[in-house]
Parts: sequence; C-alpha cells; structure tokens
Amino acid sequence: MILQRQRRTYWLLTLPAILITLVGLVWPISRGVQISFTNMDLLADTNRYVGLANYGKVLSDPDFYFSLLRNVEYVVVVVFFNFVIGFAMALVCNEKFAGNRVLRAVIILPMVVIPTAAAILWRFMYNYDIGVINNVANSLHILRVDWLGSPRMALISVLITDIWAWTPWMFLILLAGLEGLPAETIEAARIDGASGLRLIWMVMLPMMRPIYRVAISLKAIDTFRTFDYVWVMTGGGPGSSSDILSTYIYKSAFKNLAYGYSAAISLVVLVFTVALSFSVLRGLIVKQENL
Amino acid sequence: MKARKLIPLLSLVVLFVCAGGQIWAGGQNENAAAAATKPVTINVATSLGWITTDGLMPFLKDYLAKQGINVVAVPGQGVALRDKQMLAASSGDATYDVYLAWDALMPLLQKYGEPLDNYLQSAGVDASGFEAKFYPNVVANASADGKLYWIPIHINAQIGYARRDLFMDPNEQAAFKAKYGYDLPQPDSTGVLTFPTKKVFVDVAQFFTRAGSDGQTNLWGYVMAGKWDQGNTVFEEEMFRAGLGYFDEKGHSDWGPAEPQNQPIVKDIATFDYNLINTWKVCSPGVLGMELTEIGQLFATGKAAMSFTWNVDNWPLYKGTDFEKKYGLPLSWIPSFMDRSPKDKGLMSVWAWELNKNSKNKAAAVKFLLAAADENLRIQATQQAKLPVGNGMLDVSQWLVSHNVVPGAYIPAVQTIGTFWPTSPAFPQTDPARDVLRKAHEQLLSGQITPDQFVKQTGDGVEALMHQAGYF
Repeated sequence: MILQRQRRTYWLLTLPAILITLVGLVWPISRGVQISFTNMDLLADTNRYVGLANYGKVLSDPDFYFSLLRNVEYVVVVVFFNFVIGFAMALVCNEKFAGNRVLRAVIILPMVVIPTAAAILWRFMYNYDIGVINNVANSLHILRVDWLGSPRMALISVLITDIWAWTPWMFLILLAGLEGLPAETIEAARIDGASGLRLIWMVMLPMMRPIYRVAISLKAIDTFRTFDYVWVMTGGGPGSSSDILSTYIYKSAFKNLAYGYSAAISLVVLVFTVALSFSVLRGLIVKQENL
Repeated sequence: MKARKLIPLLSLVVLFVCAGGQIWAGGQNENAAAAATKPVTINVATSLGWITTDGLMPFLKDYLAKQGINVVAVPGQGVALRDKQMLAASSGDATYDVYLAWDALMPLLQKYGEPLDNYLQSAGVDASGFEAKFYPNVVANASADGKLYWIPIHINAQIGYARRDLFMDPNEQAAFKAKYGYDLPQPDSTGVLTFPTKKVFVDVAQFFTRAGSDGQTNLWGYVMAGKWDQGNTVFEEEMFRAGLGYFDEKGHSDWGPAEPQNQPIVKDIATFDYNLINTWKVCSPGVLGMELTEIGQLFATGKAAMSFTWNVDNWPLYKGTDFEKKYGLPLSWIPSFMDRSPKDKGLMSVWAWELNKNSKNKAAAVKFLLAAADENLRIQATQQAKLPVGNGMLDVSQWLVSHNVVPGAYIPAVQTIGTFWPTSPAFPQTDPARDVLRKAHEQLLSGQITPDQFVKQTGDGVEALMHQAGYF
C-alpha cells in the first residue's frame, strides 16, 4: 500500500517533466522528421510526401560537405585553443600572487558579453580601413589585413573571436580542476624532482583527465552548433567561404523557404551531434569505470 | 373563488412578462448602443523595432481612434514577419486585417489581398486622383493587373554620396582638369552630382584615391557595400539600370542558357565591379566585410571621396554633425551612368500595406490604409517621429528635400527607380535567385571567380533553380 502510494507520488512528480519533454522535444523533432519527408516549400506552395528525396539531395550536395568540413575544422581549432590557452591561464591563476582575483575577473569578462554584441564589436574592430586592429598594425608599419573581406581570412577571424569569447569557460573549469588536485601529490612530485612542464605533463594532466575530458566534450558539442559569430560577422561569406552547417541550414530554410530540405539537413546534423555526444559520453563512462 | 385568485396571479404574470420584456428589450438596446460605440479593432502587421512602422503607428492609432477604430499592431521581424503572414494568408484566416510586405514579399502576398479601387470609390475618393499623388513608378509597384493593391509607406533608394570639400575645392578642380582634360563634375542647386559616363566616374574615383606617407591608401575614391544582401543590391542596381531582371517572361534566367544575348551586358557589369577593387583599385577590398553601417562610418571618417549604398539612411550621420563642419554637407548622386536606355531603372526598396481579402473589418482596414496615405499625417509623423524616407508621394518627397530631411538625389532616385516586381516578372523564386547572385558577387569581388565565370555561374544557377521549381 505504501509502495503503491510512493509509486503514485513518483509518477505525479515526474509527470510535468515528461510532459515538458514530450511537448518541447519529442513533438518538434517528430514534426521535423515528418517535414523532412515532404517537399514543404512556402515559395513553391508545395507540401507532399517525397520519401527520402530530401536526404538524397542533402547527401549529394557538395555545399553540405564543404560546410560540414568547415564545421569540423572550426570545432577542432576552437576547442584546441580553448584548452591550451584556458589551461595556461588556469595554471597562472592557480598560483598565489597579488591581484590574482582581479586577473580572474578580467579573464572571464569575454564570456559574459552577449555573443551577438561581441560579434558586432569584433566586426568593427576587424574593419579593413577604420578598425582598431589594422590601425594598430598601421602604426607598427605592418601591412593591413583584410580580416573579413578575404575568403582565406574570414573564417580565421571568426575563429579568433570564438576562441576569445569561450576560452574563459574552459579556464574556469580547468582552474576548478587544478584547485581540486591533492596538494600532497603535487608536493611529493616536486620533492621527487618534477618541475615545470614535466610536473604538468606527468602529474597534473593525468590527474585532471576526467575533468578536461568533460570540458572538451561539452565544448566540442557546443561549438558544433555555433551560429551567431559566423552569421553576424561574415554571414557565411565572402561567397560561402565561412559557411558552416548552421548558417547553411539557416539560409536554406529561411532565405529560400525550403522547409522540407532544411528539415532533412537539420536531422542529418542532429544524428551527427547525437552520435558525437554518445561516443563521447560512452568513452567517458568506460574510462571512468576503468579508473 | 378560484377565478378571483387566478386574476391577480395572471395579472402578475402578464406584468412580469411585460416588465421582463421591457428589461430584456432595454438590455438589447443597451447592447446595441454599446455595440455602436464599441470600437472596431483591426490588426495591422508591423516590423518590430523599425522606425517607419513604429513611428507611423501612434499617429494612425490616434487619428483612427477618433473614428471608432482601434488599431492593434502585430509586430514581427524579418523572416518571422514574412513566414507568420504567409502561413496566416495561406490558411485563409484573418489574423491580420492589413498585411505588411517589402518588394520581394509583395508578389507572394498579393493574391491574398484585395484591390482597393472599389473601396476608394465607395469612400468617395477619386482613384486616378489618388494615384496621381504618387510617382508613377511607385504606383506601378503598388499595382497588379491595373488595380491598386498596396499603399506604400516606405520608399527607399540607393544613392551615392560625395565629399563636398573635395569636389568644390578650386585646387582639386584645377588638378583634375590638368590631368584629364575636362572639368571635375559639379553639383546642381540641390547638391546633386551627375556623372555622364562610366569613364568620368572611374576617372573621378581614380583621381581621389590617394596613398599616405606609408604607401597605404588613406583616401579611397569610391566605396560601396560589398557584403551580404547590401552588397548584392549594388549589383541589382546596375542590373536593373542595364534593363535586365532576374527572369524572363517564362521564368528563365535573364542571362542563362535561354537568353545568351544578355550575357555580354552582365559581363560588362561584373567586369566593372571587379575592376573597381581588383584592377583600378579605387575601392577598398575591405568592403567585402562591410554593410551599410560600415560604409557610412568609412565615409563619415573622411576615408572615402564617394560612397554608394542605401545612403539615404546615413544622412543623419552627416547633417548637422562634426562631419558637416569638417567636410560640408555631402553631395549626392545616382549611378545613371550605368543606364543603357532612359527607361532603365535602378533598384527601389518598397514597403507597403495591403488589405487582407479575408478581413472581417474591411471598411475599417480601408480607412486605415487611406490614413497611411494622408500627406499631412505623413509629414507630421516625419517631423515628430523622424521617419527616414518618404512614401513615394510627390508632395511628401518635395517636402523632405526642401526641409533637408533627405539628400537632393533622393528625388531623381525615386523618380527613376523600379523594383523586382514590374521590372522582373513576379516569380516567387526571387529571393533564392538573389542568394545565387549574392554568393557569386562576393566571389567576384574577392577575386575568387572571373567576370566570365560569374556570368555562367549566376545564369546557370538561376536557370537550375527555376527548372527545379517546375517552370520549364
């Protein structure tokens, strides 16, 4: 009887969460799946079942692969620099010195700027003729760089902004990890003669593995979905030289109103992201169990 | 006994019924009176955070409230505004009594609207007299099949600016004449410059392009928006002025495989744009990362002798500011040197309101639309809410220029420009076709493709798009 009442309470408490998940997640995704099998297009005024045609179109579209490739490059570069710079800054802030707290506050500032505002700010700083970056370069007699107007530089410029904005996040997590390391172990390693890079490489990093794995995984998944920096700073251009998957989907859906096709691309991307998340989480769990 | 008892009872019942009837009837009358005084509510689509609709609405609301009409703004922004209206319109509902559209959306929403001609007649307004208040090309944009569908509320045009101090400087004038053998173009009384040919324009741009002591260009002869949609509209301006549109009558690309005779014209435009940056080097390569705002800033900081984009919007950056004190109020111009014949027109930006054919409050909605085209109300709103441009009405446009609200070239621009709709047949694929152009134009300006490749890529791209849409 008590068990039955407990079970009822359990259902009662979890029901809102189940309902919210159904309404907010399952229904939109299932609607997306449904649309992806149609030629829903507000311009052409069509909306009928077309089977796997949209998926076939996605997988044979070279722009999709270019965007996917750029997306992968984007994730690798951003997460790598986030980690390296974030870890270096965490090591510095893990030491005791005057002004440490102020430095920490300054480091996390970029993270609290709204992404769109940050992107606009950087867009003006990158301006070829009147941007502050080229003005400084000019005063140092360095040739101006066409940051956003050159197909070779556009994506790199966005990457720099993204790294600037999100390294503080990585810094915070890694700093928390460093502060949690047992002081005795570090001290023992120092007594045994480990110092500098050796101490970091052989002692600190192995001990921090569970933490940086989670941080890198979460950042990789988050960066895979990036949209705002690219959209505001380059719009995917010049041409499509800085198009990534999210901007490519946005253009297909909202510029060309091809909802059926866009739903298919979105679902392919969703499968990629879910597969990435599962493999990362699975890896984490397995490693955790082996520890 | 029974009857004696029954009579008062019956009397009471009769009295009650009568009184009840009176009460009921009274209630009915009260309801009717209330209904007569209750304002009719109309829902009008507006663009969220946009000065034109945000600025106009309070005046229209006040004006119509006196006529018992309650105007409710239903705001939306960009694609959300488009999609919400399209979904409502295609499902035949009356969420909006009045639709709002811009040039590329107007052909899509037109079939869900109702022509205003009969309503004008019913309201005692002479239709031809009403239309005569607008520039003819504005009426052409607002009409379909000879019937007026739309009431324009925002007519914008791309224009060029030029630094007054440079063009009016006698030393510059003498140096130009010595170098090129003819006079530096001079403005008319309204500050409008005219470049008779492309060569004159390029000569002037080259003349003013100057390098600093470090060898890097510190004054560009010319800058234009190069990025995204605003970069694309520069090409569209030249395309329309060359007498072309995106599509021919059957939906083929206007310079695709079905229309090869137009390919040299497009190549000519593409070569001109390419040369400005890559060959003549009179335009900053950085414009590929710049939209209207950045171009406005570049001109405002004195880094460019001439600029071209939706410059009317940038007027407040210069008028009455430090810029004016330092360089003088900018001169303005239109790129008529790109015209191939007098009938060819540049690009117009039109925003307009339309009556929903399924509206339940058509009479009130028509009153709203007529109020939106009232010159006095418009001028009052312009003065108080700082509306940036006119609505295509002759008197309003003249007032704007004479009161220095817009630059002088606004009038020749509005008089000579067109838009996708009448210039190019109204195919709903205009926006995707523009996207094909945008991508290729950015590749062209950045030197990724040649003018020949641009012609082929865009012609074939638009052709494929229309083929896929089932037009041929």
